[in-house]
Amino acid sequence: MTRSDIGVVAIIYATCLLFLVMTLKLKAAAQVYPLCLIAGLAGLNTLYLATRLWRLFTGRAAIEEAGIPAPTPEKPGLVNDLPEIFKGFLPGQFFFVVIASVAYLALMHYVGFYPAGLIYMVAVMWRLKVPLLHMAITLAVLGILIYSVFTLFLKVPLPRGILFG
Amino acid sequence: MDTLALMGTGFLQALSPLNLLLMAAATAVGVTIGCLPGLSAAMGVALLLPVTFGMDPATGLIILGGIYCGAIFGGSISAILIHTPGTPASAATAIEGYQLTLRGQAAKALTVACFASFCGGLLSCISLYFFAPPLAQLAMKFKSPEYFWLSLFGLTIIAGVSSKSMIKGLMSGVLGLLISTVGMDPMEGVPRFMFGQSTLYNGVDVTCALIGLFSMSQVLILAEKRIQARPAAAKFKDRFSLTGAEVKKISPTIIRSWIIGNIVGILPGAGASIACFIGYNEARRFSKNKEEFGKGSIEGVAGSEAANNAVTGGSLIPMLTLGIPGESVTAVLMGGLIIHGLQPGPELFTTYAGMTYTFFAGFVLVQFFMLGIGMLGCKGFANIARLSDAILIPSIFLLCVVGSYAIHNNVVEVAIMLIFGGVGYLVRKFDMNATAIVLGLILGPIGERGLRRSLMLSDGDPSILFSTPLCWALIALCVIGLLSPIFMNRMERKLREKHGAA
Repeated sequence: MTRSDIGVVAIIYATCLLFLVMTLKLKAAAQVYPLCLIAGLAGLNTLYLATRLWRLFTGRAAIEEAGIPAPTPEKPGLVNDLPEIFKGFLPGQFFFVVIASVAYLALMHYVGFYPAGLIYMVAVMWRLKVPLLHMAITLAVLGILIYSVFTLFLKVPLPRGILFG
Repeated sequence: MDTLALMGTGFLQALSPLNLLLMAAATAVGVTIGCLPGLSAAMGVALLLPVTFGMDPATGLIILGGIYCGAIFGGSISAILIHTPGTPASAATAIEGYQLTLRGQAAKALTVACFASFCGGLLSCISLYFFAPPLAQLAMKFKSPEYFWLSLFGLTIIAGVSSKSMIKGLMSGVLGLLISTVGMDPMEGVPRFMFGQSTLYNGVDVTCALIGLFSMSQVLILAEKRIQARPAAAKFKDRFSLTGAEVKKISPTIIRSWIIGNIVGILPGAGASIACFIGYNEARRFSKNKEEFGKGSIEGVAGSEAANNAVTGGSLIPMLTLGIPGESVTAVLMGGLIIHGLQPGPELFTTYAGMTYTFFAGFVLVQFFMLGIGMLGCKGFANIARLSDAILIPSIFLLCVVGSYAIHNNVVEVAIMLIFGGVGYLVRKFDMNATAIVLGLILGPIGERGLRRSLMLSDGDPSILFSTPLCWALIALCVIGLLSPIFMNRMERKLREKHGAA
């Protein structure tokens, strides 16, 4: 059994619980189908947990693919596979991109799609150390592409923002 | 209208100047996506789905088909030139292709890859024309109970794909089914799990989910790792041409790989990544020049490339006729069909036969564009293959945002796309199955209607679900669908080990 297994099992049970609470508020006839699915998901999750626990207690949790030494019958245990799953993970870079993406949505609300997009692109490419010339070419190509396809061809009214709308 | 007339009309419509222009553009975009290591065909098709919204369904599907075929071929460019398969479907191509590049025959390797991909793709269209209509006729006999089992079959076949654990695959599928219940109850008319958002009245939009799960998650995957410069592509020292003797040498391999690719494409749970290894393995087994393998064999490149492109036509057959996609790209293509208001199944060959045959004709023509663009643009694509992830990350994100916004001009759907992006990232990290979630989302409403209508017709008696031979046949297929990925994965692993995975 691995630490990621515990996370998966916990998230699936939490999802089942969330849907169960909401399902029980529906009228009786509308509850049947979602309840079947919730039961199915919880059942599969329990089966998964059981197989993992079986391997944990019999000491057969071999994760050869990850190159982690398998616990032996003499030394069964919980394998921490998170360092393997997140090998090479750069938290600073990752969370910068995530926060910039969420901030972009908020900015789009105020200044509109194109100005917000420009600020987002420059910020992220600057953080990822893209040379200025490449940055300029990317902005030009992407701008022309999105404008011609979505604004001119598909006539999508992209958000203009509170300030310019 | 008989089939021949439909085929003729299809070609006439597909040959319109606008369609031809869009085919060329879509194929070029597909090759570009394919040759960029880290970007997949499914991601490309999902990202560009919204571009097809305002178009005629046939034109929209032709574009998606062009991206699909282009991406599968495009993977071979980086496989041959920088020894990094652009897509998993080109993993076997890298073995012989890069050896040819080291010998100064990069142009030869690319020409063989392009020619074999063209032949494989073109021949797979024949299967599409011949096998799809009879299968659609069979689907006409389906009623509510059969549709319930069919949706279950669709889930079982995909559940085992690309996931090391079958239980996790099935969990992903059921999770997709559960998400598909968001929105109005189809029988009782009560709102379910809408979190107070009227946008969710018609359920979670499949396009949003597709873009989030396949494209946005890729942004996050790319963003977590150090940005590394890709190796420089090899210089071309030879010419883009094939001699008559070389064509003669690779022809039997191409035909063999076409058959392999088609069968693999139709089979549930298999895909281009498996076909390329089987095609390569058989090319080596039947070759008269076995000593060339491992040192740069054009037969090896042809075997792999013809097989992976032959999958494209084959995989469309169960998707179009039964609504069962065998792998991730066809699941995304099915989402494209649904977005255009079309339901896969017999209606595509009766009511919408004109549209379907135009798409088929477009799929044939796309192969010619792939040949032309591939041959003429190899040098350019070789440079594109070196495009940095630092540029791809914000560019793909912006396209994800504009694509999900364009669905209903609604910012809430952008937020839904972002949520699915986060889900997709975690799903990939923890070896769940994004394709199974999408399939659950697509097949959920079909299965729910089938099940609830059946039970309504039988006054709640579940034996109606086992009342016809077709039901039993579909139950048997469900069992086979559950077991086949185990054998497929085992076969792929064995072949990868045997050939020292590229």
